[in-house]
Amino acid sequence: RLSQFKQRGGQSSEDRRLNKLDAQKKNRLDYVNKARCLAEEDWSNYEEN
Amino acid sequence: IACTEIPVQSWPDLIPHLLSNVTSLGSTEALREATLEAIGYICQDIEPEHLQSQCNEMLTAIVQGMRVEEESFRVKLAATTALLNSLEFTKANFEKEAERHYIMQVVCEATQCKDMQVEVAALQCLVKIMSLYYQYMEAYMGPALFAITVEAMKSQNDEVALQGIEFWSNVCDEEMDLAIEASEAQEQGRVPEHSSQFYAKGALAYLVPILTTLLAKQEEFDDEDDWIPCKAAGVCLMLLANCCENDIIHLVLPFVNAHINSEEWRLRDAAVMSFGSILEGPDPDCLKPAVTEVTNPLIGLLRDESVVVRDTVAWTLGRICELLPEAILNDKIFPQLLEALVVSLDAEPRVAANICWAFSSLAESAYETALRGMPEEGEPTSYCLSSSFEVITKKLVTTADRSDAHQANLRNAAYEALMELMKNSAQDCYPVIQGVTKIVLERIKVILQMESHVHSSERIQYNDLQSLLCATLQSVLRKMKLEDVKAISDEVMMLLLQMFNSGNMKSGGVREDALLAVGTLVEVLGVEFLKYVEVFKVHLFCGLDNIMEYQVCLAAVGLVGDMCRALNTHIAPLCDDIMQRLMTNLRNEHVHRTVKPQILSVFGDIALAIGPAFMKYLPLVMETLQQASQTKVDKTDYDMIDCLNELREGCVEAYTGIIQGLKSEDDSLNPELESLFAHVSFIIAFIEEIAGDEDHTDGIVGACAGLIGDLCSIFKNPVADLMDRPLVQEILTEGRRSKNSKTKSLAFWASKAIRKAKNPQQ
Repeated sequence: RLSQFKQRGGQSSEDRRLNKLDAQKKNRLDYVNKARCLAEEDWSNYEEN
Repeated sequence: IACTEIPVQSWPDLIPHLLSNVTSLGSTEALREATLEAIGYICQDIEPEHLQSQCNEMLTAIVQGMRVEEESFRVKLAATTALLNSLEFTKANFEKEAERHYIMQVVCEATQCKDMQVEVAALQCLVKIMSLYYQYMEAYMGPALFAITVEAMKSQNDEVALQGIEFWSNVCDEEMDLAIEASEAQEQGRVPEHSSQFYAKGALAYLVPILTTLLAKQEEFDDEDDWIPCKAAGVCLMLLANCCENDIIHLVLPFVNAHINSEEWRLRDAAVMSFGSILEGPDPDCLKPAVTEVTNPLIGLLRDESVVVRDTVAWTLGRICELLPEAILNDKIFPQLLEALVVSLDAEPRVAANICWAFSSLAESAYETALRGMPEEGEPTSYCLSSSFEVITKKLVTTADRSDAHQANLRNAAYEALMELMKNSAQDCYPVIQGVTKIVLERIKVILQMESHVHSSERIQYNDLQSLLCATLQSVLRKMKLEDVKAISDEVMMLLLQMFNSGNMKSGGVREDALLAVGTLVEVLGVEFLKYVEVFKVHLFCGLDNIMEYQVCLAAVGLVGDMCRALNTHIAPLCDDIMQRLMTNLRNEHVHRTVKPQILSVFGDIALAIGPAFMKYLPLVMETLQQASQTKVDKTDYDMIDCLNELREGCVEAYTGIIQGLKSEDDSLNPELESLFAHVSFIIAFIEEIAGDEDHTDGIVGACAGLIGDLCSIFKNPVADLMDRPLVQEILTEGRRSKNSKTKSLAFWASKAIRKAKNPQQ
């Protein structure tokens, strides 16, 4: 509970390092999605029936 | 001894013996006390499943010691403490109404004990019972618990008051969890397993006045690590605001307005603290008028004579900047606020650290506001911080350099604010970014020269500063134009190499941040990084070998991935050395579990980068992936469930990278891919296993959909027919319904790939 008192947001070094891992995952996905030519068709408006 | 012997059934008569010690009329006070203490210690340390069969006997002994009839406070205290430790075991007893009534009666009576220690221990039991057995508390809340805990909150004894407050903080925690459960259930069209009784809302009007009174009982020179009622009251008020949302506003605002200008500093501080505490939870639109009204007085209070008040004001302004930026990003308030915040960076470290945090939040919200106003994606040309950007930045740089910046985490806060400003800057701030880059490089140079003179007592600060400079360097590199990065990359790389070479550099954190900084340089420079590979590779290998500091190893593994994407086939000469290290780490049981999934993913990155040259690693990698895919874990352990998901996602990413890396440009079959065909049925069975696991994540659904699409695009009809299996279809359906646009796109794309593979004419 003490850590909740006047708690501040923001990023710790741990958060920054985790963000880097997330960014690497995103870059990996973007890289293969580019190879899959996913961007050629916009799927965002598709809805599952 | 009991904790060793009970699990292997080698002391069966212990618990009956202990029970008899407590219940026998002839037992002395000392024996009863010692026995109950022993029971308490056993309950504290043993795994619950080993005591299930003897739970009733133990509870009987404990309750016997807690009864009103027990005259010895020492025995009562030992019994109450034992109950506190045994509550996890007594689920079956709480499920039976008669037993529950009896336990609750005994605990409630113990809260009225004249001995303060017994009273506190009994209140601690109530706090824990509320968390463990919330669903059974309805019968006791109105008649007993409310009155007992409210009285405890008003107690002059701090220990008692703290438990009373903690009870209600716990109620908030439970009810917020239940609110999440209810909204998830509603989304899925089902009835939630447990439902909230909204005790916090019901009690709110009674609790708020007590809490605001407690807020005004600050100590002038308290230790920041002391846990005292006024701090507990602040946290409780914050939790009540999150839990009860709008209902709290009208209860707190009169107190704020009545005391914010009080002559008494404790009341001024309590008024500001209560206002700061309710900023999260209620609807921002409902809070906005109050924030608009209070911000000006708050700006004035930044110069209050009391440091406690100044600190609370700075914290509250930080929260406003983070939670309700739209209330202050206007011509009326913003210029004055900005000026006051810059001035307050010179205040005491605890105040200045909160101001830095306010700047971090301001940068983010100002940038987001500017982005929202733009017709297209990109960086805004200018934004509301532009005119003050240089002043704020310079001041933050000076703040980070203050001789007292090691206090109250000020140096970290100043660099974090600087990083946020760099990240969230508009185009017209570019000259300042370039200036900060120079400063950062200069500071790294200076700090590296200091290396040999650093006193051991200053080593932690010195290492932290290196980490922060590496992180700040990353934030500026990401913002700089490529030609400008190219112009300084030799200098940047030279400094980072110097950092790796520094003999005394013992901190894993610094190595990790230096590797991450290299990763950013790789991302920004792309193939231009090639010229540094020869001199850098030894440090990459060192990182991969550093399994003791697993975060360093993890950063090195990630960096291999970054280098693959940037260098493509140019990474090939390093691959034998890298693959050998990755394989060794995978086989090593001492390598931390978070590293292994990343290694699997990086197999995919390497295959993507070097294409057919990956064939020499293929047999071993496929065998490794097959083994990793079959990993089983204890599903009662949430950490292990996360671990399994990460491992599986790593496998799927590896399969994806390998297939993508080996395929021809026109998706036609080639000899490399034909060698993969033998693994397809295993891969599909693996996807089915993931699909059938109810704990799978959305990320893994997307990754599986991508892999399904790849398999069908390449192997066409024979594989597409295998995709008719129910579990494969289920995971694709889940993906198409995902809220994550990438997962959704991948699942639609994969479904189309299956149709196309089955019927190439379509």
